[in-house]
Amino acid sequence: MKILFKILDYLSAVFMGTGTFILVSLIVDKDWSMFTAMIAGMAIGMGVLVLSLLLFSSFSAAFEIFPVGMVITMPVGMAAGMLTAGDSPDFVFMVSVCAVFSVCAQLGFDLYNMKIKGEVPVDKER
Amino acid sequence: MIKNGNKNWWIKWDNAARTFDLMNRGIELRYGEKKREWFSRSYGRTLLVAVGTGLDLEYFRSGQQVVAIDISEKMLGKAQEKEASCKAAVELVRADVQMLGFSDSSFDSAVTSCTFCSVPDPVQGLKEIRRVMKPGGTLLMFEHVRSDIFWMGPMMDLMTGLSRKFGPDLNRRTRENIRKAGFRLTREVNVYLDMVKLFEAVKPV
Repeated sequence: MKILFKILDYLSAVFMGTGTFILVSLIVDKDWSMFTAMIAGMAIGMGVLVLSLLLFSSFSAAFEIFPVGMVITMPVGMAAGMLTAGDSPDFVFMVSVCAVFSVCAQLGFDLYNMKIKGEVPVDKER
Repeated sequence: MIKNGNKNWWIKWDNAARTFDLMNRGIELRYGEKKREWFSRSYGRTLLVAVGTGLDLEYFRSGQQVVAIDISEKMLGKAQEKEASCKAAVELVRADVQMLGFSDSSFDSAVTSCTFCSVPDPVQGLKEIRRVMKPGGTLLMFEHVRSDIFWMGPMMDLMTGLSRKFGPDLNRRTRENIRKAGFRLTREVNVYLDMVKLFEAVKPV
């Protein structure tokens, strides 16, 4: 069961990363200014995050989707907006980059979680 | 049991009752066993605060006496459907944790599950739990809290402006609130990062 949850975590991360890039490249036009495209990309990224929370909540904990999703969707949205407005990046290559970035982000969270999960000394004020 | 209807803050929970089970299914799948293990240490007459649709009722043992409260009538309606399949003897009561109508020192232990992300005045709510618990009684909590990770905490503050409209606050400082309410914090366990935690606190004798 734990392995299944982990697979789902990585799938939802890839969904958020690639989904954000695909949506931004569909919506943002070449004629847009770099700044507008960046802001629009971020907003689209947030939209994808909310959609993912709704889609995956029934089999994945929202607590776990949310922080990873923030790290993935906002920078991917910003970068995708700027790239789309500035140039026409190779679509397949960029989707692959987003997928790899998403997997790396999820892995980073998993490793950090392994480090800090468990008992916390109660007298320790942080 | 609702002593005053000040701000009708429970209306959003009435609205959420229909989709609550679906939205929380993932949490139960992932953390259900952890919650069962943590809540199994509750004993005697137990106050379950914010029972919601009753997803947590299955974590209590047979023979245990559980008084389960919630602010939302619609949530309690859903919880009633699950009450029959529950091993413990459950009494469902509509109540606001900030103004409990129970007498002092009337519970041996108390349990909360993702509760204090939603109570408008969490310290007042915790003080009320302390009041109705017997001295030496144990409070067991499964809560999501504000992260102390330097970039995530401010992000959670920012997102709370939006999340509060539909559901919970994301930036509650529950560890500090437990202490402010006069409990002695005895255990704290990180379940996921420093965002999802288990707390154990005792009402000082």
